[in-house]
Amino acid sequence: MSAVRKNSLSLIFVLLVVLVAVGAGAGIVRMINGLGTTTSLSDGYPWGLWIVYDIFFVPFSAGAFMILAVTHIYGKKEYHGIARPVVVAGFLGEIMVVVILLMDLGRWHQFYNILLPWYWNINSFMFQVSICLTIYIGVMVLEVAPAILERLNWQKPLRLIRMATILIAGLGIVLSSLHQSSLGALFLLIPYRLHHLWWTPTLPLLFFASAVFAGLAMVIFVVTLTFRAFHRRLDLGLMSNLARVVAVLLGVYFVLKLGDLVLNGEMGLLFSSGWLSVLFLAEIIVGVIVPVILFGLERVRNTSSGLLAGSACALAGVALNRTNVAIFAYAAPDGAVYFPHWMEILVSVAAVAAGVLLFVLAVRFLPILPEEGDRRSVAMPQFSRWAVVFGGGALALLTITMVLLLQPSTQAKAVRTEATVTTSVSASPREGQQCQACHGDEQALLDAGMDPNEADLYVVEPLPAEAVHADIRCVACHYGDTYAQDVEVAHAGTVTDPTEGDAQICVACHPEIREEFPEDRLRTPHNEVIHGEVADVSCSDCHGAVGHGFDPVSGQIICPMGVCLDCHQERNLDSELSECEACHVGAHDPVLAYECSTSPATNLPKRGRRWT
Amino acid sequence: MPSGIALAEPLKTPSSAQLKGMLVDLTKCIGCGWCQQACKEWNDLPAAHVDEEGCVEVDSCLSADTWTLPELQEIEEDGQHYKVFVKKQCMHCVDPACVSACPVGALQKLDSGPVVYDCTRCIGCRYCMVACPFGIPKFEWDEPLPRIQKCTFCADRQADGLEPACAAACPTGALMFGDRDSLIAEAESRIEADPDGYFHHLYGKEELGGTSWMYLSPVNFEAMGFPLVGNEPVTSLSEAVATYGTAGVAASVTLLLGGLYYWFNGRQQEVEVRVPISEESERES
Repeated sequence: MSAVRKNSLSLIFVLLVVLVAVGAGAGIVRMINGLGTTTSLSDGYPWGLWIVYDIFFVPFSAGAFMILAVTHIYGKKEYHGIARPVVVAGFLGEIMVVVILLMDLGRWHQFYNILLPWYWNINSFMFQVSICLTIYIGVMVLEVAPAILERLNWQKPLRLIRMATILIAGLGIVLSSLHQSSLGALFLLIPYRLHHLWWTPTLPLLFFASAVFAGLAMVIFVVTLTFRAFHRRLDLGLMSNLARVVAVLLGVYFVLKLGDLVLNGEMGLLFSSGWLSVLFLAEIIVGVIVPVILFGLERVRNTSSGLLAGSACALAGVALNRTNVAIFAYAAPDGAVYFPHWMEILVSVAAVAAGVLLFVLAVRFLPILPEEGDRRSVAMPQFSRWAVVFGGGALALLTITMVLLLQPSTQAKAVRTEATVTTSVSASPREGQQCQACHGDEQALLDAGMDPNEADLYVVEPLPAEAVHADIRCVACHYGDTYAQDVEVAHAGTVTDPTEGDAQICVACHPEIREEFPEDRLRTPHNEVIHGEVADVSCSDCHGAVGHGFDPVSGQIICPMGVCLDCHQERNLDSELSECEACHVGAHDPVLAYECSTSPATNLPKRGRRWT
Repeated sequence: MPSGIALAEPLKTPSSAQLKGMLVDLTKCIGCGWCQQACKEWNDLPAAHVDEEGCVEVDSCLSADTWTLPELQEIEEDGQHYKVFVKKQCMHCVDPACVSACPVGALQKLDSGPVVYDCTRCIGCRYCMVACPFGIPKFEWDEPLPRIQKCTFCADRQADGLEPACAAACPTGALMFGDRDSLIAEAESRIEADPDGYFHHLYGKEELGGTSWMYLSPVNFEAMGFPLVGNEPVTSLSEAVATYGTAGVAASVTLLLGGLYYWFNGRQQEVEVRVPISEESERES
């Protein structure tokens, strides 16, 4: 055993573990902080790299069901020797799909809702995919279990599973067929958003067909690579046979895909879709034509390098196809861009690394590869117990460090912009102190014997010193006695709304209220209203609690148009008073109105439920 | 008595007469943004943009905090320059793709028309966002556990017999709330009364199987960014495949497997099956 090989494998092993630890850290941060700061996803691109990961690794994992079909249904017993590594790889592939799927769920804390029958929407292919995936993983556990049971030497359950082998295999194949095709069916809903080089009613069939050859390509890829890495003698004849089948299946897929374009009358898109045409052709050339040629040549498919190259091409083609469907050919709104965030990439890489790592461990500790020769010849890295303990500790530390490092910088920016204008009632901080003693907080009011249902209405926040009405005492408008200790005496003669039915309290300070605001091209007939020529309108009807914090003159808030209109409608004023021209004088056009809506004049009351 | 039981049960016959709708007359919209303000007030959504003078601006794109907006479209048609404000919000499709897409039924279509969302069901898969032909559902990306957000057609107000907040606020009558059927009649009579003022089409009457929100416009709809869609609901193909396709695939794959299994293993089956069983029984005995 050469020390060099052993070291390089150890190095790869360590690298994989580090990748997993770092990715796990990033994943935890994503779970804590949400998707906004840890991914590049947006309203324009709600789906990204993680969806591509899922819809690629599902067909990749189809190798498991392909090998089940070959060994159990087709009855080719000579493939038994490679069945286990493929089933384990397929199982781990699906497990990592579930991990990434959970990572991608915005509301992952209630992912189990998908398993609650009373929530099921069986019309949804997202539901069908999820439920198939769940059951399929259960079936895969039974497929993988014999390897573990053999290792533990538990004969009884082993015999039970063996008895049901053919049923389990059959169920696995049916479920796999279903969820491969329903992945394609996910996109049936978006004929107006997916480019028609890819969108077709036969998407489920195309996804299924590509999963079939991708599954076999994965068998070739995984087995060739594993047997090479673990020094097992590979029966190239078997692989070569599979490669020939892949070539045929690729041919079928090619005919389906192009035939579909022709039948839909959309061949023209092949030449008129700019860079999407290029992507489509790339998918066909790299993923179909090249592997067909490679696997068509006996000379090539009989070498392990040729097998690796051909299957890698076919898999790359499927990966490109799924990326095209999920991202490139998806019509995002103008201006939306998507390039995966580095944390998305880190997590995806970690998922692949975790899959590989678990696979290597499974090969090391479970009877998965055929027994042959000296097991020592497998260049598995050997670590002492202390190395494992310290290494494990260091990696846990690495994960935690990742979390601590990333957490603050990616914290949700969910500090919502509060409306700046507050309509809450406030009062003078100085002169009104006696009133503030009770009206400053709800508890004081309750203590003073206020009706609990009304208390919160009478809480008055102090007015900022710079406010126009800040220097005016409460009693100046509301009457009563600010210095009285007794509640009864203090409130003798008070009014809640001082302007109701009487404008004098305002007019005392505002004797001249303008009828026209030329700068706003607005006519407001104040004199008609406040002198009672028009029925009972109080200042506060339009200007609200103007004494308590907002200033009509500086434009912080003025009477919004809705108040006038509501009132006019309520009073059934003749139509001329409901026309724009009744109040808006001078030039007016929609663009001006639009600009107007951003001007101080339309700084409408915020919050609350006024539109009742 | 069985007949008594049958009578006691309330009869629920959803008819199109119950379906509420909104007629948006784009010739009347002046883009004041009040619909947005009213929407934000009613739904307690934060005003997103405040300029240096402390004024709230009309938010210019839909988001989790902005469920509606008047979008300015400037269009040259027949040598004429049009400035049209297109009010955008959820269309509340008669056959909503988002409802069909949602795996856990977090989005539901109410009998009266509104498509509403229940965050206690939602798992955040965002399939609804991908599926919506109008790109309406938005996500609270900045929240740790985000919700889908979109116009609710003020289902809560409708339940109390009120019209949606935006319609209540609209100062020009560009929004008209009512029974969908009568709104269609109203729209047609408006086109008839002013054939030169309108583009002769009611968008949403038949598009994608119909939408609760329908638009009248002075110019053609495509130019204003309305998606050019057919009258077939996008859900019909997907749901047909979900029902018949899935069952068909499951049944045919099972049959095919059985057939193939018999075809390949039929002859050897007797031998192969018997051998291990006899071996095992021998071992056990």
